Amino acid sequence: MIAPAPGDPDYPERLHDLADPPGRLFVREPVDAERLRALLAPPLVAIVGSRSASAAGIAFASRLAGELAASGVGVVSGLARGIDAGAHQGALDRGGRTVAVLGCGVDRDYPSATVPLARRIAVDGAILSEYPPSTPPAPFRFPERNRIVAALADATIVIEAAARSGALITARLALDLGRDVLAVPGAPWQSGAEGTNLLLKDGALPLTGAADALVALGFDPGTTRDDDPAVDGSARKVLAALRREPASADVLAARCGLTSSAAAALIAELELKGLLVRELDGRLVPTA
Amino acid sequence: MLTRAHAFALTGLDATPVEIEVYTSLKPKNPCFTIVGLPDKALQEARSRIRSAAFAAGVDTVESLLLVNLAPAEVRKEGAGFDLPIALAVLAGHGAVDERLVDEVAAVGELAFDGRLRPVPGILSIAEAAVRAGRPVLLCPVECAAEAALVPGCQPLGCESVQHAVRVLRGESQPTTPTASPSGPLVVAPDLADVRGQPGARRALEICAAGGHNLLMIGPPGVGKTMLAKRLPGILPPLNDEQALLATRIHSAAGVLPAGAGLVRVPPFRAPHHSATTPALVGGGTRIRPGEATLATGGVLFLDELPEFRRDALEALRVPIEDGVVRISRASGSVVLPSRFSLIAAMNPCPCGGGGPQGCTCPRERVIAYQRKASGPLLDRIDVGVRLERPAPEVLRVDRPETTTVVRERVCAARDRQYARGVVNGLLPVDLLEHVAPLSGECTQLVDEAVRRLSLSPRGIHRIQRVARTIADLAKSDAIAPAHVAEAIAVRLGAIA
Repeated sequence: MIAPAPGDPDYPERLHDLADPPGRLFVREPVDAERLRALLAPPLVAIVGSRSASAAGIAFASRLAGELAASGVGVVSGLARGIDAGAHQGALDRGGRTVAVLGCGVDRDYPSATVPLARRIAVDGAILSEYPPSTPPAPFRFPERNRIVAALADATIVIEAAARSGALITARLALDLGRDVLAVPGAPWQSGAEGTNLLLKDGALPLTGAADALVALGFDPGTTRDDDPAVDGSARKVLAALRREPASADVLAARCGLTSSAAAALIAELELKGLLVRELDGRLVPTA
Repeated sequence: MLTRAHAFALTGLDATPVEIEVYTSLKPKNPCFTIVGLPDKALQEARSRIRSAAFAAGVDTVESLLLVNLAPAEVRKEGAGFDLPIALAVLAGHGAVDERLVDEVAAVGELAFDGRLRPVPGILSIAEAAVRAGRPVLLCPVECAAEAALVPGCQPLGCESVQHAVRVLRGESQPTTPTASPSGPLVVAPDLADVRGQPGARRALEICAAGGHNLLMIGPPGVGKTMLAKRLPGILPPLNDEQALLATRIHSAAGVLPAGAGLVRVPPFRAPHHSATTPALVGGGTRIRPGEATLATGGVLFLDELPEFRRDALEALRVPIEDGVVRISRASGSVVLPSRFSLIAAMNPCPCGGGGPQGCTCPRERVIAYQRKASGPLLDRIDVGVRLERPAPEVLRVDRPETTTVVRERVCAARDRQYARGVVNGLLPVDLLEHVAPLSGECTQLVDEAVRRLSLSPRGIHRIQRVARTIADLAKSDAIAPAHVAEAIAVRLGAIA
């Protein structure tokens, strides 16, 4: 296992921006020094947010991470459930770079919900921690870990967050370091929008798509935008109806004048293309 | 002197012949009445009923020595059905009836103290065993005669009492002819058109009825989950002769068949309470009885409030759902009972039920945990999932529910296509899937995409393929179109939290 300390050539230089840089950086096997350097090379963004985010929020995180990864931007996050996991997943699915920073030893299977994802990241990305192996997770370690996430990235993106949350701590740490903070605006009645709207009021940059992040990183977003996967007439109509207002399958069918069976087929088509997700209450929500 | 009679022991759904030998001594030093050959409590108590009934028939056995042997000795004998054959052998031993007449027939029935006969469960299985054993003439209670007559070759003689049975044997009296028709009354299931504003759920029900698939309904209390489930038997085709005979045999053996009801033609609807134990659901107990999974054969097993069921009970249902049979193992051997049913499960979307005026008030994590825990043991056995909510006004405005008759016609047409192929889609074996439900390139692409997005298991893929076959059958299409696969994926997605 490699564990660069300050002064080592493999120790990320950006961590020196911190007032209290980590004493060592433990890396889960089998990542070697060369691979770690490649994974931590700029440009990197941090994508963070709520553990109990909505299905639509998680899908957005995945899509955003995927599009950024496809443009060569690496994704740093904390491997928590919800937005973090969605971001890692999205980057991996597009063959991009992703790095997870843990609040416990890198050999711990924590949190249990993301164990399969962690095994993928350990091979195709990297899992880091400042804590020696076998250190158990503890509440005070997560905010400490967040400073590393903020310091490694050129910019921090917050997708859904409560008013008092770890994601907001990461965002404030990023501001302290002079890094850009981007936040996804939401309607005031959406529970996950409280924290991001607070950040926007404090001067964070609004983000509604990958292009906003690319502009903040100094890229020309013009050529990197993903096109919508092709959808035909009635699927487009269904998507448009959901963009006006998310609805259950029955309501959607009624609004579009479709039979249950025709609506179900269109919903599956859109869902498989990643253009809509089901919330826990059965409502269908477009992801873009 | 030694006299003989013939009876049957019921184990699960099968009856085995039992030979009854009675040694009678009319002038013993010590009068007694002993039954050997693994009788249960009810059969031990037969001694009092037989003595009293014999007295009513004019034979006093109080001074006699009676030794009753039930062979084969190692088979357990249970229930009051042995009363009549033992009593006939006892009467023959006292010279009240010719022993050869008693030896020629089979007999079954419980005795009252005044000699009247009471019906017993399992007549259909007993009649079948009687024909197999070469004793097609079966003396039985009048209430059981109609049921026994359903078995080809069986000649049931319905008797009012043991006195009547003796006269019938001597040829002095006619047996009482059963009055009930051989086809049971068709109980009319409530109409599907009553369920307004749930078009998606009605469609899901139709798919399940057409292909014999398993359905999970998720929705707050009072939106119509139970209403829908109760309407499923109505849209199923009536049982054919073979299915009806099997269902009747099961219901008869479990003692839940009303007397004189005739063949069970309506698909059974079983709705066990969520406090049901594992033996109650899949069968078992010291005396092996069919459980709800077997009683639902040919029809519907409805599990309302799925998360409230005991986990071990649900686990025990996994094999019956997959294999269509229940295996109950005992030290003395194992019993295999049929259990081919459509599973319909219903549950609330979250711990609070979501039925309050503000809807659900549960934290998100608890909702996820609840849905996972609830459907966990059975989730990969579910083909179709559907969300129900309070019907929105805009849905009610355009929803035109079809009647049970209209839907049943489509279901029957789809089933006919399946019967022509030889097997119902829900039970299609994996090795036949490629032959019966081949997927075009475009369809395979859809399935692959679903596998990638949903990390489906191979079993999950097969379930989608079976449901797609059913949707194509409902559309009277020989080939499975991409739209059919897409709908199958959509209804499968509804089952996953």
